[in-house]
Amino acid sequence: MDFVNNLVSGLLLGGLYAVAALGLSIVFGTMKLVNLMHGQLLILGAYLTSMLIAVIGGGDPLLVGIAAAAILAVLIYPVQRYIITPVMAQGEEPPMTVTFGISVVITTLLIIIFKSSPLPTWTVDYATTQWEIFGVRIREIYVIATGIALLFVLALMWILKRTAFGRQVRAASIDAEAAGLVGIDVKKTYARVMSLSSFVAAIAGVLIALSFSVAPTTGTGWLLRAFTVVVIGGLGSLPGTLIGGFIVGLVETAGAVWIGPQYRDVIVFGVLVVILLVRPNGLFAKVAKA
Amino acid sequence: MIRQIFGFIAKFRDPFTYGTAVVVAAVLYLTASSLDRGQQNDLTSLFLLMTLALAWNLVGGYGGQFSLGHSIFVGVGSYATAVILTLLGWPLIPTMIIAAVMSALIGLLLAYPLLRLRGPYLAVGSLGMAVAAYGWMINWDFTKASQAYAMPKEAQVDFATMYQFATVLLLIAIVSIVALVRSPLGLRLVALRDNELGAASIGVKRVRTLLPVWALSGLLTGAMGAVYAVQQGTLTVDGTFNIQFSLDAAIICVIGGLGTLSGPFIGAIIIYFLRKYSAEYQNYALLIEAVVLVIVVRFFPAGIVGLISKGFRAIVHRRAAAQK
Amino acid sequence: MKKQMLAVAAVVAVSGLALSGCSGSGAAGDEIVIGTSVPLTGPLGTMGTPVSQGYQAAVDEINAAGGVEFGGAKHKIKLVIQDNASDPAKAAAQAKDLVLTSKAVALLGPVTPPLSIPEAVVADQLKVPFLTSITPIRAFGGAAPEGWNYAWDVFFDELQMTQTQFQASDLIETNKKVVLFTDTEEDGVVMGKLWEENAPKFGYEIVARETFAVDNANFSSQVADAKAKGADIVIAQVIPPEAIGILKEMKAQGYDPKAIFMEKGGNTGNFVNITGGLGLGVMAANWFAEGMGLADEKKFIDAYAKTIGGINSDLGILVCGYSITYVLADAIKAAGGTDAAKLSEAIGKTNGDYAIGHIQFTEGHSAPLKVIQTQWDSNNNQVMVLDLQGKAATPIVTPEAGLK
Repeated sequence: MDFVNNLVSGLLLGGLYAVAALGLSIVFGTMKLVNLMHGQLLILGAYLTSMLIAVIGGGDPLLVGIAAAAILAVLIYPVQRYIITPVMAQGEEPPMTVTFGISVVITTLLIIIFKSSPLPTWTVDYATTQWEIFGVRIREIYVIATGIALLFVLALMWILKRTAFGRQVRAASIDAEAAGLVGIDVKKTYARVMSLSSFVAAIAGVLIALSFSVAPTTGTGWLLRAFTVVVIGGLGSLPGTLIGGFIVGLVETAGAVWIGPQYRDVIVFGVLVVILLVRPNGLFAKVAKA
Repeated sequence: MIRQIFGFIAKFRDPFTYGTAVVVAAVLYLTASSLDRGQQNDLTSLFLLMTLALAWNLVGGYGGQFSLGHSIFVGVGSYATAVILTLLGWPLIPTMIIAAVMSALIGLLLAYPLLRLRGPYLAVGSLGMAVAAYGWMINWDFTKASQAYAMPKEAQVDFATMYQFATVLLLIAIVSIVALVRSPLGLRLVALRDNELGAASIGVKRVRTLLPVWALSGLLTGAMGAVYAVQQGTLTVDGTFNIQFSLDAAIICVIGGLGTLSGPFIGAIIIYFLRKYSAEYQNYALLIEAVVLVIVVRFFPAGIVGLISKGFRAIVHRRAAAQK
Repeated sequence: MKKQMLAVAAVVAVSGLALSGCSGSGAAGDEIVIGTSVPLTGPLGTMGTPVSQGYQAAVDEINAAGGVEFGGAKHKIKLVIQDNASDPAKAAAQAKDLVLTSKAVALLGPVTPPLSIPEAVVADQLKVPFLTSITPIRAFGGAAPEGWNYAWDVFFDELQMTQTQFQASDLIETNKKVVLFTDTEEDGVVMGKLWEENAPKFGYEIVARETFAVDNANFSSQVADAKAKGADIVIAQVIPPEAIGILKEMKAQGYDPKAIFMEKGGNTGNFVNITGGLGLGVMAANWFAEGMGLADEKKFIDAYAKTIGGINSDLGILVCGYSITYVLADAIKAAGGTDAAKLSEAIGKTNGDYAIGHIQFTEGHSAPLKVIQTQWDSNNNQVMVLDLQGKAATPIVTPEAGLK
């Protein structure tokens, strides 16, 4: 029974990891941008939600979170449009450095405004409810997170495949120059993709806050985890990200049980390195580039 | 590999470049006693930061491989120094050399699998290795796990000697990097970065080119870690295997100018003094540093060196135009 | 390449010259410069902020009274505070810089061993007196096998601290079974071992010890194990996010033990709110509380409890910082100046009552503070449940109220 329990809890934890990583995945898939501020976008989503709840005077965190996610998306649009996109012509390193700089700005501002201690947790029942089905323990919030992960993957795939915006995104991601020639505003498209990514990230941040906790400095840990998930799945592949999340969740849980939770990082990142050695572009990368 | 090393030494011809480096270093070395402790300490820390950035630039700038795993070399270099001094009681300088060599071997060991990866995969793969190494060290009782590892008293040196160590290390770094970059190996390295397919078509082998580069980068970073260990006096996993070292190195190179010789120097000076003088603004210090970083990279994405050479070219052009 | 090389040579030479020009600002007149590198940002920012507030409060008070008196004159103190962002390497570098550039004659410490120890090593290297707190004394002593020379520490003894949980548990009915939650940080390792040693002496049995990597988030298997083993007492040495994660998982699994001790994690201000109420009734060791019998208790509670968010460990940290600043000022007075060797000797001879209690240094350059146990109440205050004599104070609320 313990085995089934760990399997299920690992898988569902993986669902949460997948949501946390989805935003990172679409940004990379479209603009080949390694977004080092992704962890802070997650955290910022939770903080914005908390502020909104305080302003409204109540409300369900997940519902208010949708509004907070929309606000974050609006806030991030100019950041991509006027700070990150202009340096992307210079290769991978300058945009990576800029996103790192912005991540430090976000963390430090959060500390100055909210102090370093964790964000007060919202009291909602589903955050700490556990179901027991045939003797298997299932935490409700993980089920919600996994559900949202599936929903987001499907929605994002639909947006990319079926909408005009999606076609622009795909065109820009295949060949930005050619897309520009046929009249697609690549700069605006990039900014919209970053907005979309922050929207997803903000919801993920609310889920993280509900399941565990967030503090101004927790972003980096989640960035690492999100990276692992995305890279294992194959950068830019949405189903890959989902499966990558499940793999990381399972490896973490299994490693904790069989080897010892104190070796978590050695195990998870060891597995990451091994997977990369076998499949240098992750498990589900679409095109293997030379 | 051995032939490459000899080919390398044969290239030590240009007396001007090496002469300048040696003369400047000699002047700095000999003037140690005329500086006060504060200046000696500042320059030691600055030179160590420069060495770290130079070594990273070899892989990250000239090689185009954005490594986030260099903290491992700092950690190996520093812990190897501490452990050898404590357990074997060797003299300090041979210990530091051995520690650097161990770090170079680790460099080979890490690079071999890492070289299968490209672009962001390499960045994340090397980051994964760094985090795994940290996770291992924090549990390893042999190096006292998460407790502080005190350097033996014999390893204590005064500020002037510390400064001289750092000067010599920086000289070694400059000379070996210039030599490597100008050697055929260096040309192959840059060719590989700029156009991998093209380089492969004229017979440049990726792994054979990059392995010695990673080894040299590991050697220099490890040596930096060894000197750093002596400067620190006590080691913690948090203070050595910290990914901040990789980030610092990368930031310095991007600010200064990736893949240039003077970029790491300029970047290191900017970062070092920015940190030193913003410290008094307490919790705004990090904010100031980050904002400066974003602004510099936003407006000078090719780094300060890129800006200078652009300005230089503009002046030359204007003069040429005026003459017409 | 030649041009580049010349540029490099010029850059290095200029930076050398620039530095030899600026040999530190130094102090104006007969001001005494005291430096401190504390974590105002980063994970330890919650503790670094109150300790620096304590330093500043004491310095302001001393200066308002004219300064420190020696050599027939009063000297004002200039306190230079820097933020090391919870980074040990930065802490060491700043400690050096404070002495060498800002010309600090003494250093006040940061918080916790990972930051205090590197700064203490710097102080010993530079031969500058260093006084720290919020650093358990065995961890402090263990880092210098041959002993400290200029570094001093005022805080609790881990051995005494790891007994208070059992003493407090003696005050309530339990099955005497204990589960430990410890992470891989230095204090988690050390305290975990001490609890394992102390438990049998008090008649308790450690039924499980859950160890995990720092910043662990998912505690489902550990909590399931603890619940299955039926322990009435949970003792944890964790950081705040881990404390929240453990409590949420306990709530989810319906595990409500009779007593929960969360050291460090449960020493965060506003803990009941931060945990969404789950932390109501969590206990933690403390070194300052109402009713402890300290002379200036009321003064600090009135002055700071509001701004700091209640009567809690943050307030205790502030009082610690305040107290060691006075220890340093008194030592300067006793030493008749700021000569490093004399000042360090004078610190060692400290023997008196301060806001945080009696301070007297022992062989290992440390002055042990006795800890009490406190429990979080619904006003977000930590209420004393076990006093300095190891006797019952306010009755313990059991089982833990927040998990009901």
